[in-house]
Amino acid sequence: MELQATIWHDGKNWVVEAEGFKVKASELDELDRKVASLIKSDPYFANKGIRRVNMFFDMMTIPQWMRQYMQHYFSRIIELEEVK
Amino acid sequence: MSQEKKGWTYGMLTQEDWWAVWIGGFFMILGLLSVWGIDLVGWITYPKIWVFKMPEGAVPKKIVPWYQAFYPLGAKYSLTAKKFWKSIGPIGGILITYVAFTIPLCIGAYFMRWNVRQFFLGWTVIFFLTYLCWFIGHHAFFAATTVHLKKSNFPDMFTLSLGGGASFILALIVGLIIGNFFKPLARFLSEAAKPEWYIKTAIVFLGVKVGYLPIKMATFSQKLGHKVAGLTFELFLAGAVATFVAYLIFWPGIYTISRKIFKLPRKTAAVLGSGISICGVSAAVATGGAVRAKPVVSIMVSALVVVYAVIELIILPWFFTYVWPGPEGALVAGPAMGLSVKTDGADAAAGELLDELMRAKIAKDTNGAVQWPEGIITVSAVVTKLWIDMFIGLWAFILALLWCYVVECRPGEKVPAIEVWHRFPKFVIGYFAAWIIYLTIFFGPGHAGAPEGMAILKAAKAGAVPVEKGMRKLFFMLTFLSLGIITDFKKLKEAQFGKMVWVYLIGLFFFIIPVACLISWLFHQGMELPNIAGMGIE
Amino acid sequence: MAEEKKKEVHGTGSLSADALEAEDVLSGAEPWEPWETKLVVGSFIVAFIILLIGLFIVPTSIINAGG
Repeated sequence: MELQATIWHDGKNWVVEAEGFKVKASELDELDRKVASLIKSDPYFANKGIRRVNMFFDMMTIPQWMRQYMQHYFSRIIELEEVK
Repeated sequence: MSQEKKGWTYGMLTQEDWWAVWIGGFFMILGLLSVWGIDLVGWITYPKIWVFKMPEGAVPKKIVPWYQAFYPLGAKYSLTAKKFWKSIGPIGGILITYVAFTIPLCIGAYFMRWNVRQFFLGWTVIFFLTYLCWFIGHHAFFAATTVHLKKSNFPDMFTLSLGGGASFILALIVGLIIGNFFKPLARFLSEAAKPEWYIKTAIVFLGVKVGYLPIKMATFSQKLGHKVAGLTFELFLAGAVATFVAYLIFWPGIYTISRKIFKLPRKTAAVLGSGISICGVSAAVATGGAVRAKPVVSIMVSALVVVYAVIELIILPWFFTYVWPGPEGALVAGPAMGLSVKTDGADAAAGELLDELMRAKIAKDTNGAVQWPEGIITVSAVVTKLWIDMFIGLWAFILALLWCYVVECRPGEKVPAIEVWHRFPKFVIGYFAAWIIYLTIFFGPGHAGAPEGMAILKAAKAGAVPVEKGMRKLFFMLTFLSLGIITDFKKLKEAQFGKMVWVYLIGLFFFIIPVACLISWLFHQGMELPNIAGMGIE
Repeated sequence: MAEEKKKEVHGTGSLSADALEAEDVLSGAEPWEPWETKLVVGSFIVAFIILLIGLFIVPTSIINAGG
């Protein structure tokens, strides 16, 4: 099963938010590890059988004047089993 | 914050790109109704060249007294409601134009979750300021060319011969003055100073122009109609190939200069490579996302892009018109502009200015013996940019794969293929749809300009002219003004940009622009603009 | 809400990048690696191939239209 999450950057850290949890890390590798360990350890997510997280970038991070030029930064998929 | 899956329909109601399609498409459809005899677009009010006092013996034809400086286009072009549009007069026309655009733009602003009140107030100021610039810029001293003077039976007098270009330059200057010297006002207007939104909408209107050009020419001569239809296809093909070649030279060139000479980190070099060489801010954001750079990289590059784009807009149209390649290479200059000037707004604006300057110069140089139809040079500048815009999504996807699987191999990370679509410039759909629809009318019921199709072509013309001429020019004017308002030259001085300013300067003027000129010259060598002097075509 | 907070920091519509940390944008260049050479050279080669093909297929090119 997939979990839909939002990713953004607060100036210092990458932040992932989904279904009540919020994880921060300065690098994406570390972020992925934190997300994977949180989902694996939380019974709520374990029961749901979450194997994949879809992260969609929240364009609020990008200043408003820039959004008129390009309205998509990135989205990424994380396969939790493969995160090390 | 919702966390639903973002499918292919994502952003249809919340992104400027889509709103350019909806608004551009809406007015295009209103214009199309003229085929069935319904004229709903004749209100768009357009300027004429004017003087305070007409000289003795002069005829108010191309140059008119000041109180006739604006007229609803329907008063001239409508087949079914000419009298009505004439009766609303210039003031009524401007007010209807204001209301007709304010409503859809505010609806768009609402769905894009902007501050609608702030947008409405800013838009109102920008709209009327635009019309004021349009008025002043059309004074005969700035705008009148030899042809205008002759046709209005004016005595020989000195004018700047800038054609419609004077208004564009004035709008840009007014915008820059506000953006650089009246910053509180610039902030107040910022919610509505959206050059990219306006230009994307204008580009949809330009699609109407490209499709309508053969129709316009065919109403004078079937042969000319065919020639222009062929020319638009040539621009489409040559523009595509030139863009691919240029892109694949530009990006690695700037990347190498940034990395080897200026010792910049990889991600910064990649984002800068796209920003300088491709389509400016949109490329910087797309590449920044693709290589997973922190947003600050794209933000810094973008701040530079908008300033440099305006510098290019100020310099290049004059350079291409008066230094190289001049009017004999007008269709080399247009695509070179598209390849050189970053951001759609600045490029289309520069193309439009080039169109005005080139046409005014050729008319002056030949004493009116050579005149070109308006808009083809603009189209040549925009076509290359559209290809670039479409290509950035693909290139960003390639970089994303490279970064994800080769450069920074993060276990478990995948790049979704829908990224290409999310980064696709949706307004391009509106441009091509408009082009194809009008071309279908030309080749279908219009019988490619044969006498049996003439009635329908004339009916289509009545609805197309207000859109491709009036609305397109108005949105170009809005773009010039808004570009000026959001451009703050002081940003270049900011120390934190450091060597990025120099990479940009050197990369742009010593690599990008010369290569763009060379590639454009290689592919557009055989193109010729049709001479319409003496045919009664405006 | 996090969204509100983000609006305060980033949604101002200003050109400034002050709210974001910029120190690692210009410094800390990594050494040039072989894949970068491959990417750059590969891109130039593809450009050259498209250029050659394009010059032949585009009717208005310098080859077909003459200089």
